[in-house]
Amino acid sequence: MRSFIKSISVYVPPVKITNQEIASRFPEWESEQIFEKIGIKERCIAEPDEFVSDMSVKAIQNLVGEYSVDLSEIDYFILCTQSPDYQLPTTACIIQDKVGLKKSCAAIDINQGCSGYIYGLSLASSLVSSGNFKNVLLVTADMYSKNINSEDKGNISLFGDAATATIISTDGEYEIGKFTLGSDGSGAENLIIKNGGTKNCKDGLSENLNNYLYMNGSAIFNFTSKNVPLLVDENLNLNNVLKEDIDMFVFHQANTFMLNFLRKKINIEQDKFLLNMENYGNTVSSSIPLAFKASFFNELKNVMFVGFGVGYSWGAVTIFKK
Amino acid sequence: MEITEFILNFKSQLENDNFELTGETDYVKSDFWDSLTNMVINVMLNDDYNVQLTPEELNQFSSIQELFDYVQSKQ
Repeated sequence: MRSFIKSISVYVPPVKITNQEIASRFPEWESEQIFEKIGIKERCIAEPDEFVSDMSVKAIQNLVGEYSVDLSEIDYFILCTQSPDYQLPTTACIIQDKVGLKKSCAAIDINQGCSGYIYGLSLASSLVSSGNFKNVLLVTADMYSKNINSEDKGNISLFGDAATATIISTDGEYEIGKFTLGSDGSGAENLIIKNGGTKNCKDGLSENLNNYLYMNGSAIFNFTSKNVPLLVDENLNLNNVLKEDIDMFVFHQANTFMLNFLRKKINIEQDKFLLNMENYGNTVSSSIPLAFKASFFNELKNVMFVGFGVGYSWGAVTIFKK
Repeated sequence: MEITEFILNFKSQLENDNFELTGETDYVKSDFWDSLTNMVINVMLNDDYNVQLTPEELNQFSSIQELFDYVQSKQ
């Protein structure tokens, strides 16, 4: 059975951090330079008392409002997040209750970051293709902001919080093609929050950087420059399309410096390469649907989504306008 | 490999290449040099010359000529 992306909605939290605010807190940085280097003007972060379940509910409510989705038709719910409300229970179950999904709807969390939307789509697509489920709701929601040290100007500048909601169904706007997925845990330490799992507890000390998000930007850059061009080629071949046949490439919106570098390396025309992050920042698993949302109803025949990052993990899929 | 070819390759990696670059250029002290440029040049060294350096090591050379000599010695 074929599977389709039917609809996408998004939610962006209300607290904005502008480059001017960052430059005033860290005078060694200039506001214009931040935009020139990473292509972000402002990033939105969650309120102190706003959590992944809250953002997810708002994204789902936006889906209901925009597309008149009947939530009673959802029979499988996948939440992709690396910032769950609790260690247990599954945040997806909390959202099932909060938003009013039926009790016969399955609900699971998956933990992936920048490749999470592709991983989530691969599961949702397989569930629909199996014939066992008709309407899968995939929500991505991350709030790295709650795990960034207040002195870490690099990560404060890069990351924003957001949630998105996508319906994958037996019918819709775009047929989902084949997936290329991969992982390499040898890079785990290059993008990590060391404390807070079962291995190392958080000690509450602000000077202990293991309590916070750590990113080795140089190592991540090397990883992406080596793997993403191959990933794109493999997915083109798998879906039996040429690079020229793709009307729009939607990469994980990491930062415009890295994206422009990758675009040139892969030799993708500028007008086919979506950059849409200046008002959001890097929103991790939400960055692809958040960037693509405004183009969803455009006249695009073939679109490729490409995600890569924390794990390391990566994935690509080509979707085809019905 | 000639240094002129190496300089051309180095320059082609930069976002803005509207300035002169010679063997004597102390790239680390140049306006264009920052941690992002460091990453791009590092990828070039790795991809095109099979040379792997840490960001800190790449910041140790005092000129393009010195970097070029190092790369040559590793070929």
